[in-house]
Amino acid sequence: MLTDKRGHIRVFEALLATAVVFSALLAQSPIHVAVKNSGDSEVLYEIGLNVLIELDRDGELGRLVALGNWTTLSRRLSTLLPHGVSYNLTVYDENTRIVNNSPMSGGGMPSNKVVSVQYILAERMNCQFYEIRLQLAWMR
Amino acid sequence: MKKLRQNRSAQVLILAALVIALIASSTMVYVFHLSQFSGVEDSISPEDFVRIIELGSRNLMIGVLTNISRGGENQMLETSLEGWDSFVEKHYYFGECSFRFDLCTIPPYSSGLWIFWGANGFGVTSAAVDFYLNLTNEGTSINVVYSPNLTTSLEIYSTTKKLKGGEQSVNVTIFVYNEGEPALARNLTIFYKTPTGWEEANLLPSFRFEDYGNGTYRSSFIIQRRPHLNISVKCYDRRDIFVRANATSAEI
Repeated sequence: MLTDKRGHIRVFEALLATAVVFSALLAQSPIHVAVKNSGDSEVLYEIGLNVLIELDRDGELGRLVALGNWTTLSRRLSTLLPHGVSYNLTVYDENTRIVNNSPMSGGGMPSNKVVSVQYILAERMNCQFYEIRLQLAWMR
Repeated sequence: MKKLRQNRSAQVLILAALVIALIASSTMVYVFHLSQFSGVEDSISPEDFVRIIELGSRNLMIGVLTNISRGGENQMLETSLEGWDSFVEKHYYFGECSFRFDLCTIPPYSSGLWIFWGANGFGVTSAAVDFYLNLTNEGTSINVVYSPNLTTSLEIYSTTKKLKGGEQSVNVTIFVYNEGEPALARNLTIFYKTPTGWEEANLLPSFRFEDYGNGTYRSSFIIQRRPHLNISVKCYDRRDIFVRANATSAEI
């Protein structure tokens, strides 16, 4: 009779141990979701690319680059990018020299993960070509 | 003593479970932190690259057409596209890129261009090019053919009506098109021919101009009567492409 009771306790303890392990695994599920949300960087990439395409659609991006109007370009980016996104834009000419003499950035302190969008630009005014690097990150 | 050891072994089971849970949790947290710290992510899908290049090709053609329509060399289309061709090939970092183009030679096009500023009330400034883009990356290959045709055209219709005192009223109706669709003009100037040369109609006190907002414009003015009045319209569209058309005014 006494041996039987001890057996019950063992089963109960084993169940308790299993519960401890499973509750730990359940507690990790938000982390799983967070890891899955690393797809946020894909969203960031799409946002950056679409902003550049939208600016380039009527040739405005090329015009601002050709005129070296970095202040207006920076302002346009700040308007088009959503809140909570920091950015840094660099323009290279055909010989991979940096064209923008003043930094174009905004949005504040970025998080660790930075997405870089490559954009190939042909501008209408002088028919010159540029490579644009738009780095984006969610703000902390 | 034996009984006590048996009791402890049960506690060890729970303790082991706790340790397992702790290890699993800390591993997960570590993996999460590693995934967060990955520096700069740099990639572009072939589809996005194609999108960018298509838009760039179009913008370049507009730039070239603007330049040629204002007096630039026709050769500029080919030389600019050759430069674009090699620039694009050099700037695809994720595999092999082959990019080439053919200038349209199907009449009325010649070397990718059709520029006709006629005396029959019709004017056109147009460029047509076929582009072939091939991207190869890790065994996959994408072939894209696109053929942008950029056309700014102008139609003008003019009538004159005799007035008392040796004068005539002139009505000019203008239609502007981009790629065959009604489009807005950035600037329109109407001229009429006199024995001394072309005169700007908008300098006349009687000049009236109406913009219908849909690519249709109408103008009227009064001048000294003369037979077979020639009218000329110069137009810059919203892309700054220039086109001109001349017409002889019909008397009504």
